[in-house]
Amino acid sequence: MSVLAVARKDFADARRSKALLALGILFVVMGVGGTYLYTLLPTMDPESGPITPEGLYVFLGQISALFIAISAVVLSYKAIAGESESGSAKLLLGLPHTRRDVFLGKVIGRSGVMFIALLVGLLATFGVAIALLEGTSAVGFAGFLVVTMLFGLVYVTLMVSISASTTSTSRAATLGIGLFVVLELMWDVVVFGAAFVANGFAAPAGEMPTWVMALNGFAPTMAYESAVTWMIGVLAGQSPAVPFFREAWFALVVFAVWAAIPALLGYGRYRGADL
Amino acid sequence: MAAIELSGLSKTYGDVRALRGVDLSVEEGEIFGFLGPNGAGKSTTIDILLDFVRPTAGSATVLGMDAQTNSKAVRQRTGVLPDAYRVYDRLTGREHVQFAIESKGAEDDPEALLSRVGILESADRAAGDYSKGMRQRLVLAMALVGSPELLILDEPTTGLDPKGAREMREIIRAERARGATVFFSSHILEQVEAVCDRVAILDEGEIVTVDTITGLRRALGSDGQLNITVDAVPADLRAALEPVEGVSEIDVDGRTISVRSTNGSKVAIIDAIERTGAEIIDFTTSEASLEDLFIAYTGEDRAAGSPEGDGQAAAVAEADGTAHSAGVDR
Repeated sequence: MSVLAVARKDFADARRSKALLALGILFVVMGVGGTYLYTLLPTMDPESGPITPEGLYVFLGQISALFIAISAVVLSYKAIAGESESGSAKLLLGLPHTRRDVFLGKVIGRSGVMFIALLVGLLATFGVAIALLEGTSAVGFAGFLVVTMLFGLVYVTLMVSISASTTSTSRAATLGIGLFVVLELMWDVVVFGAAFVANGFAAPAGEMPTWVMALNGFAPTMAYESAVTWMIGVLAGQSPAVPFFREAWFALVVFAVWAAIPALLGYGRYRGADL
Repeated sequence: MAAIELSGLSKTYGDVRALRGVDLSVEEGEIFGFLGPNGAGKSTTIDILLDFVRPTAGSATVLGMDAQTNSKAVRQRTGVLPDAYRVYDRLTGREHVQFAIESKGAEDDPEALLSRVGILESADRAAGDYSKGMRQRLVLAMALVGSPELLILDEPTTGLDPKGAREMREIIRAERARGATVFFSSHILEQVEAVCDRVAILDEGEIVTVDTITGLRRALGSDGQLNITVDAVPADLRAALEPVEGVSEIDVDGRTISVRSTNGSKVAIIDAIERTGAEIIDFTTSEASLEDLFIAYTGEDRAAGSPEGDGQAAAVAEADGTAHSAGVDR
């Protein structure tokens, strides 16, 4: 199976490069540190309310999003462009793999690295949470892992797609970091800019129109937050009323869009490219 | 059926015309040399055979299949040693070969392949630590995986020392003996001359000629040189030799007579000398080198005029140093 051969090779390469080790350590520190920090909240801010596993998921989710996004950039920007640039693509494609096999294999291989690192990080976090937080459940953590992994998969796919779209790693890095900045750090500005333009180049006053709120929810991180909130509701057997752009299905659509459209564009360019 | 069939193949990069309508047919079971200076379009042609790049016009058929639409099937049945590749620095030699075996769904033993190319003792070292010659051997081992019907080797002796180059030629011959077709490119004439059945000469994106090595020599009527050592040079030497058909140049150095002539007139020359009463002590022959042929065909002195001086100069030096001792490696 061609895709799996490429994925296995890619995973072995990433593991050997210590990328897996580095990511694993990062996620352990992030999860354990984040959990400890969360338990300190009541002492630091008396008005923060009681600490609960649900509160921890929300808190961790906010930290993880940024870490996972930047990790995906570092982990994936060279995935395909690096091989084209160095010439190892000639070994890879001298063997009977199609460009589609390579693209899918790379997405699977790098996602595997992300998944193992997240698994290790969240297992360590789970251990600490059991000790520090009453009511911590394995089911809750498993749910959080699944939702978080989905978010990681979206970002890895996005970054591998960028890597597929060019034969220059510096260009892939620039595009990847640029997109990270827009999606993770400047999305508010983008949304406000859109509202500003739609309002006839004037700052919108009063309540934002629904489409602006929906656009705000269209960043992968916002969808991730919605998904975490939804998961907590499911665990508690509740389905709190939220606007449609905070619902789970909307989050899934956002995930799908940010993975599928870049994948089609990136793969399309890769398929047609001269190495 | 032809193993490789190129028809009107053209490739343009921007305003650079790398290939200009190449027509070529490589028969099954032959060792075919693809000869030309750096930049002639050899690698571009090979890149098209493997679908690394797409032709601007024309078509390429490999093992009866279209090289573009059916590339995966082509590569399933082909072993590739590309040019300007890079190994996976962090993976071991063994892992490289295992990856090729897994990719082709083959049953080979990685150790047998690594042993065949002479790097078994380094099987478990990271390939990034290999020398250039060892990498070349490693990628050759990957190319041999699955006993492919066709081997495409782009400058296979790059980075190899003379011993490595000889081993490479031995493997090439063994693969042909097994029934494989071998298509290999080189700018080193001696390599091609030593092992090929037929040769195509490519220059500036165009095929200059396709022929057997001997056919090329015959077609050109190239001169060979006969060096005859005699007990005493006869006074009437020139008078005796000049009437012999094909003789173009006569030189005397001490007791050695050097005669340039078209191939095939050697016996007549020796007869003529003996008729003068001189006793022949020893004689050697040297045939025209491919480099001479190349210059004759392309009208250029590659050693002097090449933009990529280093590689060319080295190639020419190697050709000059070895081609005249014809037969050493046959």
